[in-house]
Amino acid sequence: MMIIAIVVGCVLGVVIGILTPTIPYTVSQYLAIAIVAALDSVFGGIASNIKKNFDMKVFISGFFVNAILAMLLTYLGEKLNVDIYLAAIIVFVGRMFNNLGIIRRYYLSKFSEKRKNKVKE
Amino acid sequence: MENNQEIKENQDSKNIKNANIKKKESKNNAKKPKEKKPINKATLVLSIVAGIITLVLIASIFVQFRTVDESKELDIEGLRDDELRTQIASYKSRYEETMEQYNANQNTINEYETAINENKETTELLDQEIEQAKTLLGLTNVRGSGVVVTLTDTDEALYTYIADDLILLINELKYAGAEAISINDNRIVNLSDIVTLNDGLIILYGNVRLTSPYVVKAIGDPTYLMSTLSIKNSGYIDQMKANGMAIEVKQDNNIEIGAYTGEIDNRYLKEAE
Repeated sequence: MMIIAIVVGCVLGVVIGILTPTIPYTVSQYLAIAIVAALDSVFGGIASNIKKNFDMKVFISGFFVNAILAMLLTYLGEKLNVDIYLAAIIVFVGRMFNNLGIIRRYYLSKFSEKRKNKVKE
Repeated sequence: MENNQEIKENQDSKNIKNANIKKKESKNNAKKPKEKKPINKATLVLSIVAGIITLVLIASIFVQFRTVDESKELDIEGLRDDELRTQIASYKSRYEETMEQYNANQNTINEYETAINENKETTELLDQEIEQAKTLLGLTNVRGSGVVVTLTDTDEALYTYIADDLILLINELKYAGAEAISINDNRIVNLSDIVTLNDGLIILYGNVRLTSPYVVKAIGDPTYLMSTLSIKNSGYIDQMKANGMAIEVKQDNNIEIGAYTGEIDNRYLKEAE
């Protein structure tokens, strides 16, 4: 069910992404930072799912609010002439690696467990 | 996705004695959908959310990809050295190609231009010929020195042969070398006719009526024209005077004669081969 939803989302996303006109270059950096924030939220969601403390509200609000907040911070940084988006990227990407590590470790342990079981049998 | 995996895990974990407490909990939760088979509400919501989120994410990522791809070539400041170098190289080769094309095009343009010039020369020659022909035909306004002959009917002589007199006059003028002649500002061309109709009406070209005084302008050598007209006794002036017409001849250095305004149509004439 979920896989179907994700696949459909991917396909529709690709179609929409290709059909929509490109945005001006100055706006594209905001979109970039929003994408990084959203990716971070997605990995965070997966990791929390593994940790069994997944909350839908937290996930959705994190997905959108983080993206908007990151864009606002980037805008502020542009106005102040400080590259605040660098800080946002460091935080998001750092968290992304963290969460990826959690996901990786979980699946590795599962894999090795399975092997052990097979060997025991 | 997670649920399915957990179900499998749970099946596996039946064999494992030291299973996790958390897994046991999830075992109870996950067994229900497996028995019922219809979709769990929470799963449905989760899948919809996941689908929407992937959609938004992928769409924005693709938009961003395309934006970056498009703006790459424009944004020189954001490029690295080696990228700049490759771009410069490609631009250079492109410039050379374009230059070659430009040169080739320039050559063709030059060829066309010479052709056009040749054409121009021929058209100019043709134009000159047409102008000459028009002038000869009397289709242009002309000016020059010449004489003005004014013939006036007198009361005593109701003279009905004035058409013949005018023809004679024109003939004399042509003989004296007149290049352009007009009667009462009607240009005499090669097909002009002068006839008398109904005793006393003089007609030019079949439709223009002439009345006294008849002003005949002629462009040519004034002295030659004058002397031809004023030969003693047999000259035109003396003849007219003898006929009882009032005649006045004036030399003029600036006579203007208008173009023939009628139509010239050849109905029977065809060019012989």
